[in-house]
Amino acid sequence: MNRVFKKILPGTMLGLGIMFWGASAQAYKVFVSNEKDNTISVIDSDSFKVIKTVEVGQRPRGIILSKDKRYLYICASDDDHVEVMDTETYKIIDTLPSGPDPELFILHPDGVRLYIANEDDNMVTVVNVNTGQVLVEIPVGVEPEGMAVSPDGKTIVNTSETTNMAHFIDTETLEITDNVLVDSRPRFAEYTDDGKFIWVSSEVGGTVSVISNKTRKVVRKITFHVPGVRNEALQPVGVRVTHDLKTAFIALGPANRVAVVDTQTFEVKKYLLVGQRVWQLAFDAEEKYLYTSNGVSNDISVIDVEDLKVIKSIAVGRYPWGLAIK
Amino acid sequence: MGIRHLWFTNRRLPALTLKSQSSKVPKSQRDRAGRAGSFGTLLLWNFALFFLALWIGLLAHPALGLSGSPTDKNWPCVQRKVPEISPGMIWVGPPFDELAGKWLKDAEVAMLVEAISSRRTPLEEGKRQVVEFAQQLGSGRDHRLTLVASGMLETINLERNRIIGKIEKFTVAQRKLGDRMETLELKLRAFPRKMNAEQQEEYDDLFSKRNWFKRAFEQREQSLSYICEQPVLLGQRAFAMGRELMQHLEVKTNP
Repeated sequence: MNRVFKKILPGTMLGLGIMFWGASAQAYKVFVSNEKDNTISVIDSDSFKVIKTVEVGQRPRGIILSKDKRYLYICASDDDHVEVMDTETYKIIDTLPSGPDPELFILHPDGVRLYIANEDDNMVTVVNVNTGQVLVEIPVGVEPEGMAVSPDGKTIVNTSETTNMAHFIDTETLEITDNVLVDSRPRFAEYTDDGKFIWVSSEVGGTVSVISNKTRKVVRKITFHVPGVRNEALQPVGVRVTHDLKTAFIALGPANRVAVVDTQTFEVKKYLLVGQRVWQLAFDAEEKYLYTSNGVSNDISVIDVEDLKVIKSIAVGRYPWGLAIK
Repeated sequence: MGIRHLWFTNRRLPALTLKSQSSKVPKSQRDRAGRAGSFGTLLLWNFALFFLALWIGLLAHPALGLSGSPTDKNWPCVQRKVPEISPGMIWVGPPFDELAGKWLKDAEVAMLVEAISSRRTPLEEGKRQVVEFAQQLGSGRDHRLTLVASGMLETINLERNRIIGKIEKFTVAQRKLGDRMETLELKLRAFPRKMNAEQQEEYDDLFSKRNWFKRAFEQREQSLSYICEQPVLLGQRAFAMGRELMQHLEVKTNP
């Protein structure tokens, strides 16, 4: 018996080791900015529980991770700067200039250039995250907000809420090459992973425009209809498209729903009830789960991407806004 | 600052330019030197701000398609005006069609509706009562849970409508107060630099009235953030209770 035990023990230990290694390799953290509490909540993906709440600058909104995921950049909108948080120690280790009222930003694939939308002065500020220097300020439309970067890093798309346009900016010449008119109050832009299309949500227009990167024209406009919900409550904001380019998820704001769209037919397959005033969305690395920030119910919903079911709601701080996953 | 607050900002400007709120201000401190000039400049600024606010207001008007936010002039809150919570915003269970008012005929359901819709019941206590109710349900479980949800939403929407109406009345009253304050302000500024005793007395009287209106205006303004929160809190309640009720449905649907 003892001999048998000795024989199977190494194999068992190895198996258990691999199992635990595999499990821990899949674990990750979800960072959530809480606009009203001036905090960042950190959620552990294994337990779906908040493991840390970090005090940060005033009115944190857009958040994004550095390329190596070591740092979290935080738009502290009312402090008019970007804060840099160490994602291991949870300490704010630096601040970066941002221009006034930074709301959303995007990190260039080079990991160095941070493009920040300044809602109050109609500019996109470009900051070098390594040196902390403002490289340039690019004038855009009125109330810039949504920011997206093409996978090849050659183009930045910025949406301006009042001008109702998506501005295409060449990252080399820093000039606007195209302006594409979309519906009222465009809030968010998202490039598909193949770089062929840009999805732009219009909060007041209640639509999502799909723009061809090649022709810079709107090729499709998606509208929404949820039984039992007034049309004016259907206000699309956050958009995410899966890596396989088959499905898009669109947060519908005060309708408290996330629309699931077939990207081949552009038909809405499902409307998932999540939390109140669903705002931003973020996939985990494997796209097993989609997280949604719900600004009024003060929680995060977790959607099982394959089953298209809401499996969990996690209470965080007040007015959760931005999401980033490490 | 939201567009809706521009009106208040604009109206407050003249009041803030006065040097003191006291009605017993010594004459020496009532520096009226250059009043005519500063008043002219102030008036110009007021007109400029008024037209700027008007322009922004027009731009933001939903009819022009530039903003869907309800920029109605009687809505002073930063929070968007959501006139009604539709069933689909909180519920993916059986439809509420033709259930309006029927919850009142089921005494047990009616009691639960009253409890969980009331702002006096803490959310956690409301959820506990839903759990207790659901645990004793047998056949017709989903129908009775839907009745509760429908009644709860009906009750909360009624209460929200009442509060929204009050907020709008508040805004109208505040605007009237602002108008009266501005009228007095203009009268005060029309006084000559050197006044006789009668004029001085009249000035002091107007000054005192103007300060009273200013205090009332400011005190009411301070309560604005609290009252504006109330429709949001009721919305949170409707959503939280709807979510709890759905947990206990036998048949879960998602359109």
